[in-house]
Amino acid sequence: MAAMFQLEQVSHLYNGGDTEQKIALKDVNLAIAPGEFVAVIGHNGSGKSTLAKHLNALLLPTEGQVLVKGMDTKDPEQLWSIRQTAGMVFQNPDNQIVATAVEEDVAFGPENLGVPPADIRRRVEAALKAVDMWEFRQAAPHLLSGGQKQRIAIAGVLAMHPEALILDEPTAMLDPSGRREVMDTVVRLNREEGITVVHITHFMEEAVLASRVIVMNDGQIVLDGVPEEVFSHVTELKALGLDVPQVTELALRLSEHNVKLPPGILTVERMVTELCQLKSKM
Amino acid sequence: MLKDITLGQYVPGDSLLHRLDPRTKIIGSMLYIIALFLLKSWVGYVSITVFSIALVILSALPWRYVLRGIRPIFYIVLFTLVLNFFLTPGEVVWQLGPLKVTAEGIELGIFMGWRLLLLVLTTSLLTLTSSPIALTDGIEYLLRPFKKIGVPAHELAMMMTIALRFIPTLLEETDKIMKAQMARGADFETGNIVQRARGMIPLLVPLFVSAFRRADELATAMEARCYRGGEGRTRLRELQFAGRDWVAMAVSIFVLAFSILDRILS
Amino acid sequence: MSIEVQNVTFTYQPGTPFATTVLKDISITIDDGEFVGLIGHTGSGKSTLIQHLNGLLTPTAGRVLVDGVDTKEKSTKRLIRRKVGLVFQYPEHQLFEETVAKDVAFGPRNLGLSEDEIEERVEEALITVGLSPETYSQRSPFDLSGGEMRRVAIAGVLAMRPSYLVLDEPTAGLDPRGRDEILGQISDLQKKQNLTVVLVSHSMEDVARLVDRLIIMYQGQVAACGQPRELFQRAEELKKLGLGVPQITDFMRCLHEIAPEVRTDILTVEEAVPEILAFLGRRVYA
Repeated sequence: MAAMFQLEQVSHLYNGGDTEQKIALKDVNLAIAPGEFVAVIGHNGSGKSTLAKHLNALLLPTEGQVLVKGMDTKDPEQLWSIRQTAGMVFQNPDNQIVATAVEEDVAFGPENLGVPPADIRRRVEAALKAVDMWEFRQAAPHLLSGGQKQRIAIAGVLAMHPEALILDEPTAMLDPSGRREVMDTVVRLNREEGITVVHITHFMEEAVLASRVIVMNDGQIVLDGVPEEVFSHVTELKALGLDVPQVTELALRLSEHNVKLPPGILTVERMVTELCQLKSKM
Repeated sequence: MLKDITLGQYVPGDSLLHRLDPRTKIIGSMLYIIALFLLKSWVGYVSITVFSIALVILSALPWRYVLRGIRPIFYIVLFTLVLNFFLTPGEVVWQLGPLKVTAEGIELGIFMGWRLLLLVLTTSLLTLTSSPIALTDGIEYLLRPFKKIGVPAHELAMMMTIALRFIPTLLEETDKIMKAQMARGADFETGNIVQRARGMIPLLVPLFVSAFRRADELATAMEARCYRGGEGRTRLRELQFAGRDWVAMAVSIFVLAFSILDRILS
Repeated sequence: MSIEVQNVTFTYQPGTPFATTVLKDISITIDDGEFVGLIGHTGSGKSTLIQHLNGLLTPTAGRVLVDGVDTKEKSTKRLIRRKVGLVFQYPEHQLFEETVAKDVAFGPRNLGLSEDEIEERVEEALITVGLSPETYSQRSPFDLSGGEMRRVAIAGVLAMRPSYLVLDEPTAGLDPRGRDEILGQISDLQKKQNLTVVLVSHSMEDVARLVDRLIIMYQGQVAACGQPRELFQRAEELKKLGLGVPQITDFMRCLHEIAPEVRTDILTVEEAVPEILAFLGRRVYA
């Protein structure tokens, strides 16, 4: 099966304030299969957002190539087909909603694709129901909460019938309940609808929900694996200025006192179980 | 809070006027304005007043909403009255020093003032019974035939939509920045005009910076959602004339014809 | 010296159909030198409350006293704004000058200080937020990174030398490194200069390790108030208020259900380590 996203030796240079060129991505190789839920973490300026913008041709690689379902992002003929396949949700909920009513905004994408009106209506309904915002279809976006606005933005992408959802720090500006709303929605879309998700974030609580975590630093991928594996690199992650779950850190501290726990404990439940097992063995 | 203000003055409802196609209402309003300025006789004025009252009743809006629209133009009407009273030459009925009030002036003044009142009253029905979205759609459809001569119908409508969408957001932001600068000791309330204008810089610069950032992000988001101008775009809401729209059009044309007759005959 | 909020009620647009009461009969005292955390989910009235502390909003009923001065008093408005420094959410959005130095100087200049004094304060404030004046003073604030802009904005408030510093989610949108830097600086400032700090936050982990006292708001009222150690014991209650506890506290509580000898009033990983070692029957090495 063709990869959903295939990055081959991708580098991206951009012009900083001066004449010097800055490197945002350096020789990145990455393949993401359909149905995966990938979290990309890294501190600000690590290249994670640049990476995301390459996945739907908002940015083009300076070197190397990006394929979205086999379509080259450099091919202008494929541009709209790529953007329809890989929809994107951005950080600031206010700056991506176009229309003055929720349903009008969700319709924006399908309208651009030239979908017939009756079909748009069905898509809008399905998309709003998928993010649990159907009862707000007539509401004015500026009166909604941050979490609700981001769900509208997700619905706007869903109405274009994409195969992948790229989320560029969608929770950075939200409060905890808004973050939970968005993450619940994203997790459900991935599990139930099989939509490929690439989620850019610096909240490790969100990264542990993914099936695969990629850590970026200085425009390169430094760690890539299942959350249990990636988060077992506590010291490296901390050196990169990233958080790890408190229980994971606890496990590390305990190991310094010769308490042997299996690596990659991310949740409270798991930690409790492991400790009780350890105790019973003594 | 600033963000709670309502834009336009749309009052949701389900009256006949609410249900009319926005295009019908826009064209109807235009014909009504022409008719209003063609009228010359007392009979004509009385008839169109009755017609206007009928429209308000049809809109099922509370009178106070409709009359609220007139308040801002009160002084303009007063000014029109006074100007016409004194400046129209003719038979003098009252004199105060060099100022002469003429019979013709009184008649013309009342006509002009009345005309203004009706104009505002009836056209405000347009914005009271149509949502901003519907009006934008209507304008876009009506301008479409003029695309060939270079009128950017879709772009104009898009601009209007975005403006309507962002006005509350920017108002809220203004409020926030103002408070943040006040917390740093800024004063927006005292001083002479020059001082006050200078005092606005700490508010306006961040506001512009933010508006540009928003514009940039919105443009990227729109592109990511496959926006590429009006070409090949469909709409969620296709405007379609219903029977009532044809009837309303016929009524509008009748009103216009009546006013033309009135002008010719009087 | 303290800020006293006495029976404050606040209604937006009173007397109109849009009237909404966002604060209901709130009474709190913020003492000199205290580090207070203010938590509660969005819409609980936190932002409205902090705007009362420096008189940007004045109560519909009740009163706010800053060092004994009523914030309703028109003549002392400036004094109160100087005493209580307020850093709004995303404060970098208020930057407007051509250079960092000029922007930080905006507050002190409004206080009518001499040029020398202003310069001294700007320098001091920039150092406090960890930006070296030599490298940053003459740069445009709009060329800085998000984290740097945030710190310039905070310096702009610090340069007014407030006795009380109120920060509304100063770390929103920052990555963990940026967050730790800013919180570290605030904490240092509070300890070294005995500054009174009110920190609005959504992060239980952050408030757990930083503040002396927590005020929890819910639907415009103070729902609970006390030391973090004591409040985080009441996890069920917090949950009802739409709030959680730090993961480590949650973990200790779960373990406690199986092993009742384990303490539950744990706020940080450091505190948990000896407790778990004891649970496992290991010797604790200092």
